[in-house]
Amino acid sequence: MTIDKNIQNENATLAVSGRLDTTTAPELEAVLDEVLPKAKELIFNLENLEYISSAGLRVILKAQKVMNTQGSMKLTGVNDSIMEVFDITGFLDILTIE
Amino acid sequence: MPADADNKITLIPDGKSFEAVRRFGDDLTKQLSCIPKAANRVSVAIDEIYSNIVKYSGADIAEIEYKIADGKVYIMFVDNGAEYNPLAAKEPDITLSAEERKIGGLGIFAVRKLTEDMEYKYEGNKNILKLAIALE
Repeated sequence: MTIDKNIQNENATLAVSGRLDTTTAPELEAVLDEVLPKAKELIFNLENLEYISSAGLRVILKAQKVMNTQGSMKLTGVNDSIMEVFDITGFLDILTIE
Repeated sequence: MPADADNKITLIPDGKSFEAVRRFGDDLTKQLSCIPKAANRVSVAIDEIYSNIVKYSGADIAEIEYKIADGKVYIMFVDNGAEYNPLAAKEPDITLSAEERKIGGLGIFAVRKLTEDMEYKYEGNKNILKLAIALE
């Protein structure tokens, strides 16, 4: 997994590519710990994300909870396979996907 | 220990073993590259089941084996850890808001939803879990 950060003032875009799973989710969590305190708008660009497992969902959920209290969060470039995982776990109802 | 065939891997389930499992999973999903959804289901299933074995089972040996037949991928996980039947796991409430959500149990739940069939038995002090994932 690689994470490209683009941060301008209170707007942060994180382009996450590769796999977001048990072994890589802690890396995203560490980046979010650094980015979230200052973010008003958070965008996850998932165009090059291959798959997500529940370890990744946990980190996305944690970010959503924080952003619900201080701004907005959206996900872009979600492919069909990842959409399926969001769908079956009920995440479509709590995330904003464009 | 005899060398494993290409479709089987034997592991000491610790944090260091994930890399070997990832490569093993890659070899399988490469064969499914024309069916991205099936490849994704396989990747998710292997990550969820194997990480549960590492984190919770206390097993000191685990095996993963697959075969592709009849339009399905069959994956079998065997470990000698504590008896755990994922089919008996309580389903999470996926209708709650973000604030009320708990993440526990979501991995197994996702695997149940992504697989066509899941069979579990505890035999000879081993957990044996078989999954069938449709190639579609």
